Amino acid sequence: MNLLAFLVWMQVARTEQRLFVIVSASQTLTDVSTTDLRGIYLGQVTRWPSRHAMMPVIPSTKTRSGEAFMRRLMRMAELDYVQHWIGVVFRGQAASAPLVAGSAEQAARFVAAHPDAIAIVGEVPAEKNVRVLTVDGKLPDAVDYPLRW
Amino acid sequence: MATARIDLAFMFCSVPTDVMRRLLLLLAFLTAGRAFAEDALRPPPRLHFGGFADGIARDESTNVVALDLFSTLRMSNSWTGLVEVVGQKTWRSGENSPEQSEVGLERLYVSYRPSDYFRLEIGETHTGIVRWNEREHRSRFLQTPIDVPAIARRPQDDGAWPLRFVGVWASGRARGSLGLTYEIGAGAGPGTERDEIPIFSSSRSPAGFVAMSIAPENFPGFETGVSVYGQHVPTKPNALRERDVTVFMNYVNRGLEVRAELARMEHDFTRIPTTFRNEGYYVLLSKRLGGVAQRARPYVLFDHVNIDAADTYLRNSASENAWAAGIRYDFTEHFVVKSEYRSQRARDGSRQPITSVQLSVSF
Repeated sequence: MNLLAFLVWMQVARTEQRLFVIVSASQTLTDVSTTDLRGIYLGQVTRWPSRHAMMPVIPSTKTRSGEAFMRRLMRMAELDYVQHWIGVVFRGQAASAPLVAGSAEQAARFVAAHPDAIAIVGEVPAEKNVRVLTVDGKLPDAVDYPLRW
Repeated sequence: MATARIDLAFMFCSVPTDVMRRLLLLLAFLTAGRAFAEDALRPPPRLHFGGFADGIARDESTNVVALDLFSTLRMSNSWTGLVEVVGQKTWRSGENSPEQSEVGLERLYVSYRPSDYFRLEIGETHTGIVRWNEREHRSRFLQTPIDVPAIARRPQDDGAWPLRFVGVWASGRARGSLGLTYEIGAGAGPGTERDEIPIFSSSRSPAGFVAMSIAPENFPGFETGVSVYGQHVPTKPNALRERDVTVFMNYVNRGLEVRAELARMEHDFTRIPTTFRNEGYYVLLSKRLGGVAQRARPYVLFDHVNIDAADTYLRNSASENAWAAGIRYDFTEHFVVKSEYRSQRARDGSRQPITSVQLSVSF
């Protein structure tokens, strides 16, 4: 019975995917809605409440978290996402496409050093100068956390 | 069809070959640059250069080679500038018609954006009266099919709707579940010549524009809206009033793309009770395939425009009733090949089949 429970736990652990939204510890923001999050990563929401321009960072699509970001949050293929951003920049709606981080640590280092950055990562980074946001008021540990699949 | 294939092969072996070689070299260079850029996480530069290169080969129709270059400059947190220049060369295969080349300024504006609720642009930009034009601007790389729908063609390409504009433009997006956006513009539109925007001469054409759209949060990928444009054109001997209304609907989600737009244009003489009505629409359906075919996106486009033959202001525009089916194949995010079959009504009323191939690069 214990072996069966362990195998079930292993399967759940292998397939469960969570994404975390991190910002600089100097940001006053503590929560973000999924609507705004999609807006930020589609180039529709570009400003912090302080009116500073955001610098969005995404996980590389070569990682599991990057795949989940594209498929679950953006609901589009990587090709379409890249071309969407070519259009956003071409139309003058944003200065540049999101930066692509190869790892959660790399994203966290960048966010810690740039107060206007916001990143989506697949694991909670060890970096101290960043804060994990709640999404739609839910903590990442909550069962109904929106970025948990 | 055998003739068509030979013509296409001939075109690929002659003029476009050089273009294709240059495009592929450019692609290799840019791809290497981007791979390097991904390793280093740095803030984006203040000055950004980009562009698109297109080569379109058609049998028994107009071939196109176009280069679209743009640059954006982030001057401060709120101020940015954009300049776009387009060069294009067109010629017809199988005929001794002369080649036509043009290089022109497409957009030049300064933008002030203190928040997402408000953005102000001053300069030469696109009207947005036809959403396709607003969405794609000049680049054919970004659009799924090869051809631009008839209502979104530029006046230089015999299009009827006023796509460019010089003036002041305010736009913004309200936060909330409705995804409401607005646009308001005032300035000068096309003058007595449809493809020119006079600013300092007596043929200046005052114009205004209002648009609203919504993208509801609980219907991801769906967007719909309406645009209204009006202008006074000092044509002689009678001046014209123009009123344009367009309604659009887009649904882009999980690889599916549905775009539809209905446009109506009315011209009234200011002193004579005469009204000319012109209207058009397009419907585009496309779907990115899955699995090993995920780089392919088959599509079908229905394209219709009806120009009042008595409307002399649109004497260079013609009615059109066409459909096109094709496939877009994305070799990379920045290199696309499209192949299309189009059936359209010629000026003599007969159906004209056109086969086209496009190579397109973004950088």
